[in-house]
Amino acid sequence: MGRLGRRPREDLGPGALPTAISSLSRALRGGLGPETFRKAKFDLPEAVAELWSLLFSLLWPIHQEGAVAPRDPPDALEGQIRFVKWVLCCYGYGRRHFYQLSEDGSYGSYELLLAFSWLLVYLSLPERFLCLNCVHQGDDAWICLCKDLASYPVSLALGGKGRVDIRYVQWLLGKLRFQWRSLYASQQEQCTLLNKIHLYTRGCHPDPSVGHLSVPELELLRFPESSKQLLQQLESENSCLEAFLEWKHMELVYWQWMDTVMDANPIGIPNAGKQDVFLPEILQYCSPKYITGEMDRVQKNLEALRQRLQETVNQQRAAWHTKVSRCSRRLPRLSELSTAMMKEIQETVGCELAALEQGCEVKSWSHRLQRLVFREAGEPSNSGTHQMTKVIQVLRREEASLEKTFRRLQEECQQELAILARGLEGVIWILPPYQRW
Amino acid sequence: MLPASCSHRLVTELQGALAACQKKEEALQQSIARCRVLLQPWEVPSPPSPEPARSTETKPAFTAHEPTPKELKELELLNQALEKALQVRKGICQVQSSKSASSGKTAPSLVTAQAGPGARPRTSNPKACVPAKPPPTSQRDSGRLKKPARASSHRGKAPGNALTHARQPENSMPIEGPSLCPLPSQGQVPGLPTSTPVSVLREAGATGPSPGPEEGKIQPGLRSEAFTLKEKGTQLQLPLFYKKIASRNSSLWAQVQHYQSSADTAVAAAKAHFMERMKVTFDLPGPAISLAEIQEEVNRLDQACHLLTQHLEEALDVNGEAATASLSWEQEYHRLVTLEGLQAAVERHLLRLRELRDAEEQWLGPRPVESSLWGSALCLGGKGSSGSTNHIVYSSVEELQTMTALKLRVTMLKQQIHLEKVLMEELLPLVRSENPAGPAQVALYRAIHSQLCEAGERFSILVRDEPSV
Repeated sequence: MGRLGRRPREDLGPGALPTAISSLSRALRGGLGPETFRKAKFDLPEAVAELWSLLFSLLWPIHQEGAVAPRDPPDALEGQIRFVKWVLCCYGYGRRHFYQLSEDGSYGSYELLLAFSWLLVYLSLPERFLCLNCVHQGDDAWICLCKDLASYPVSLALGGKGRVDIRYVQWLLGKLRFQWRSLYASQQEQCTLLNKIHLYTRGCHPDPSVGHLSVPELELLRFPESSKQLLQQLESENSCLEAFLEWKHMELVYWQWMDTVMDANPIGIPNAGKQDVFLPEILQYCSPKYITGEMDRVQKNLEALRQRLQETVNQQRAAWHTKVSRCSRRLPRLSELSTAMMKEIQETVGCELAALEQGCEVKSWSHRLQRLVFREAGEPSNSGTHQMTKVIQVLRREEASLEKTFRRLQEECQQELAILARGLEGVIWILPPYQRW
Repeated sequence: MLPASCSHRLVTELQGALAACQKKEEALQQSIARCRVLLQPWEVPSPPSPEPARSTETKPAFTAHEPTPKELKELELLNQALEKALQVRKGICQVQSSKSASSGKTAPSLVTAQAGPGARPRTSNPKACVPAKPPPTSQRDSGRLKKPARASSHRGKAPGNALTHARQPENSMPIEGPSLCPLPSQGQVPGLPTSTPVSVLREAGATGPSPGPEEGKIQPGLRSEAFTLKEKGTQLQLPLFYKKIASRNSSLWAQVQHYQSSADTAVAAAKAHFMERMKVTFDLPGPAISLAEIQEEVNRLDQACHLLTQHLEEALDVNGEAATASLSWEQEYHRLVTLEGLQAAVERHLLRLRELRDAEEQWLGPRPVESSLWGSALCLGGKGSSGSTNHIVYSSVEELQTMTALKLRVTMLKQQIHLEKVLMEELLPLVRSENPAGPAQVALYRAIHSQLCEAGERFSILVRDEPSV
């Protein structure tokens, strides 16, 4: 079991498929057996309910992870079926028969088997599930900021009714500023405490690349009673991992079998004459208005950027042309900037912008959960670790550009309000002292 | 007063922002409390004279070892000191357990308050014990290797006692021993100041040996040696059973990652073949791109916009606020080409967004007229992050603090920018539309100006210009 090599495929006999399926089932923490899959191949109705609940139990946690406001899972089979259909529709699963399956779970195991296998590939299910339920033994540090404050959804219910005075708004904003300050203080304190713990427990961790204990591990020592839960979780994760590795050995057998399943294809679905699938009905399960909200926001940002670029580019171009024309009046040809150099610059810029586009792809390292490790300067570090200095650099860049954006917005407002101030009759408007640094 | 829709939106946004901050603060406080608890002195019963070879499988009717008269006397003194301390703590404990809903912040302060009076009689103990200790210490060290085995075997006797040493009378507290080098087992019995905040904080169900109600049963015969993480932290050892499980865990993850990195072509081909066959059978009407893919692309475009803005700021900021004349020819040309490249990129993205919007409309039908602020509670999980944890290494506390401070600053700025845009959208129309009437209106303008332009930190002064007669 501890070998990292690959087992040869010759040792897979006829019993391989049921073993593979049971490994898969264990890796997914489910209780489904190979019999259910066999029945589903022949579209037997006994397997339907189990397959629906399997699909639901896989898809619900995945979406709870992404959801910002947790919701209760639907209890009834009907609700679960609707949820599964909605998710698969959003993923672009296109088998009409699947969506026509009735919500009482009386038939359709063949379709469900196909849907399950499709999801296995589309979502890389066993791996995804393992990562989702991964036990955290270390002090977690999220580097990426996607799940942070600004992305929280706002409930309309918070708005209350009635009109408020501007002073109330000012008060709320002031409260927010105080919140920020106390957050900052708390965070600094947490850092100091964590660092102390890491310092004091240096040399205690069995893994030399880590070297010190984390808070959950220390709690294991301090409060052994409460450690039972952690240990149980770890043990069950171990058995899932083992099952997963077994599955990986035998995966090919499963896909070969799925080929035969697709060939079998019990045509003659009894409800061929049923009404057509009405897509928006399915999608109404949870109308994703957030997508359109997001698109509006992104569009606004892009358009604002476009406008700003337009102004700046025109400015620059004009300045460039005057410069060039001024020089070319004196000299026949531009000696300062040869065409070769211009080409070179164009290429460099092209590469820079292409790199920028690459950066738009998910920054692979920053979206993962990271374990915080303390190591004194000067000690050798592995290649797989990411130094905090890099992270700090990236953050500083972001901070600088965000500050500039913010300043710019404020200046925009200032200009607009200045126009107003001039228009006010009978009032002298004295601006606060200019304190820019 | 502000108009209704304006009020509603502003209050909603601000309350939402406050709620998010509040949530984060609570999470931080919990984490801080956990750390504080660990940094408090850990109470452990001290072994008077450990004999590693002794069999300890039986219950603690330890009569094998006869206490010497000197130790008995010390025990007497200790008992009296302990009783006094327990009474003091009992009073404070009952007060504390009654407000079990207190936030994490108050608990640590109570802890420090308690640790004050409570710790004093305690810290004198180690010193009293120390003279008696040296001979056992050497034995202990040699027996250290055996301790883990014993400790783990003791784990099975959960409700019973797992103390391995003599003259510990009935200990009503469940004590289990992870191996701790100088002290083979670890008890919680008189650890009142440290475990009560735990019982307050961990109301979710962790059954830390909370001694609150069982206080009265504590036998006075226990000698404890408190130690802090600072003094003895480097000598801690994780229990063997945990080490085994954890090492198995990490080796399994390593194998999993190995599989992920070295793809099996046969399997991949089989999967691809399957997906192709499935795709052929897809007969649902709709655009080729699915809603999940639309969402991903929108996120990507958002990120792209952000990066392009950042790049623009940097390009314009070369040489600081330098005037164009001071730039060299290359730099200026570079800047021009960069800006034009950015422009082209923005156009491309806008086009793509247009296409995505059309596709989305095909899926969802005509969009609702008002755009609701309520984000859907169920958003599509993305394709997901992969792999187990990676390590991020820091080398000093300042580094860690800088990073967290910067992270906070970045999110704060993002929130500020978002709120600024919202305020601009809502308040500027008020300024443009109405003509200044009375002083209330002017005061409104002053407030708006201060908020939008000065982030609410400074105010302008408005002076009425009376025409002098």
